[in-house]
Amino acid sequence: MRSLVRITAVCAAMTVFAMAQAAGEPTPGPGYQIEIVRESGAIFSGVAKDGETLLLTNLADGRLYRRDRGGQLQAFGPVLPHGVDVMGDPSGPYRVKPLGKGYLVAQGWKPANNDENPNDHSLLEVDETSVTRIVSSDFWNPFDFVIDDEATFVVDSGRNSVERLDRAGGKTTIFTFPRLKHQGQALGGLSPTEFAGKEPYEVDAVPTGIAERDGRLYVSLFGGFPYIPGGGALVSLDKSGNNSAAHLEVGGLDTPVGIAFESTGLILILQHGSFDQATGFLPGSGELIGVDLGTGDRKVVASGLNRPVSVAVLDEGKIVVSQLDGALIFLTPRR
Amino acid sequence: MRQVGNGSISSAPVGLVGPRLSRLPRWTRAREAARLALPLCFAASAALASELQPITGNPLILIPGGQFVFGRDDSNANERPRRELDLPSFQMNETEITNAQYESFVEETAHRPAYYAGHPVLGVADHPVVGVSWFDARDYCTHYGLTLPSEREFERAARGRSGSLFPWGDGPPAPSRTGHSNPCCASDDSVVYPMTAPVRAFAAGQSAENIFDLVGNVWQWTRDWYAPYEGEPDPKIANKFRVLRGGAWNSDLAHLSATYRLAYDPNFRYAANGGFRCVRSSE
Repeated sequence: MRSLVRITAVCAAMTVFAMAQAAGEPTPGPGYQIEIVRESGAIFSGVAKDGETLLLTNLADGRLYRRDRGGQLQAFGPVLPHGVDVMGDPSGPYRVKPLGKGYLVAQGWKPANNDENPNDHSLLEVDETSVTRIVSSDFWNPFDFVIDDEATFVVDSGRNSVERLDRAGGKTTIFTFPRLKHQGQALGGLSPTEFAGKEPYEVDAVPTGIAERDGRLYVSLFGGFPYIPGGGALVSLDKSGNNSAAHLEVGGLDTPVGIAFESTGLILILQHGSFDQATGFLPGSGELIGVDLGTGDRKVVASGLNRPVSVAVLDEGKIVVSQLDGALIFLTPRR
Repeated sequence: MRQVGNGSISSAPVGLVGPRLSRLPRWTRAREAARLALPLCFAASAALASELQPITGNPLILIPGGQFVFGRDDSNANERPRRELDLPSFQMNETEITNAQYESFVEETAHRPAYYAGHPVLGVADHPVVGVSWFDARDYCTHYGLTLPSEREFERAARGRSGSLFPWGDGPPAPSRTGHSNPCCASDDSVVYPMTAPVRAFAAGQSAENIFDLVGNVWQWTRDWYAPYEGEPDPKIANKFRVLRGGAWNSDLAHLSATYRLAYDPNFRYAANGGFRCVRSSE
């Protein structure tokens, strides 16, 4: 049993926003050009492509934003609950994607100092001005989702599960992730009385990002506190729900928080950063990597990221990453 | 990044005359004021009173010196051996340092806040402060002219002279004494606190000297390095970890003990169940 505990049991990826600070500039990986855009005061979370524009969620004001090709930001939709959760981390609209004539939003758990709101911890349909439908609020902390022709698959980072919502409103749990096991020795530097033994140490899986490809769901597992190096993973599930276990695709990841497939088939995995027991997530320790799931080959797409949370693929292989410090990182393949 | 202050120097403006008292640690200011024999005697005596009880609302309780039982032979290996030791008298805070008391320290020194300062449950004013590293705890006590307790002092306060198993005697821990959740009975309505509890919530768990929470509520940093009581420590652990004592609201029964030794990286500041109290020690 862990004797000293940090309260993160149902928390998703975000930790100590106050510690997000200016760090070294992000660096593009080989073969990429980088452009960094900063919006003062913003806490960008979700990013998604919507035709010619970029959709964003901003946890600082609970709004959705469009960013046009000229770089102009325009808020739209309702003001959704936002604020800090019990850990002092930002909560609010985590993710947004276009759906029909409107948008689908994953709304995080209730901010600590807010009154209860029917839109808390829910999947919401919104239009240009308001919430048009609460698809479901039977979540603890819906962090990301993917939409296919028949259903929406939602990652609940509080319940450590993947939930399926069909068009008729039915909801089923596709899979609940067991706790991840680490060797106790890996934490011996934290406490020799608690972790130095041979008994494995278990942490919550904390699913974060989700993507779909060829009938399978791919889910990044952030791993719970104390976020040991290499403690995260990418796993896959059969979309039908017929899973006795999740299939390990990529192990040894550092706090993966978002994923997306490139058109080439490469999966992009956004790693939030390296955690230091004294100071928290180290500034500039986030990284975006691309992994060929067939061969296992990895490449660095960008490094030096500062608390990144979401990744999306745009036209012509362009990639965008959002950061909690209000930066958008655009990565363009060199031709 | 949250600011990391040095924790012992006030940032208050310097006065127009006299020594730079405002830039000295608080207990030193009181002592210096007394030494200067300021004509305002009332102010001087108030300063002396402040020196004697430097933490408002958390009196220092005298623990008489003398022989006491330290260690156990019938428990974990690192708690052995049981023997009698001699210890000078010392004074210990009646309760863990609270959020309100820690906040005062933060305001006086610009030290970084506790990690859970804003938490709706853990950050409540009269609950023990949690989310503090050993260094935070040390700096707090130093600011008030005090220090963290040694393991010997903690165990003497928690076990009395005769080496009882717990502060209240040898009876087993109960939620009404320690605030831990009772694993046998999920509906046990004696547990009314989901996490930490007010520092004077568990009168049934007080020690013979009426000190609260020497077992239960939150783990408490001591000033000692983690090492075996006898012999040399393994070089892998020597001078790397500090010891916490007392167990906490989420501890199992094996950890709710006056002798259990929990060793942790002193930089670790994310524990939601780890706090501290101070002592005035001549050890």
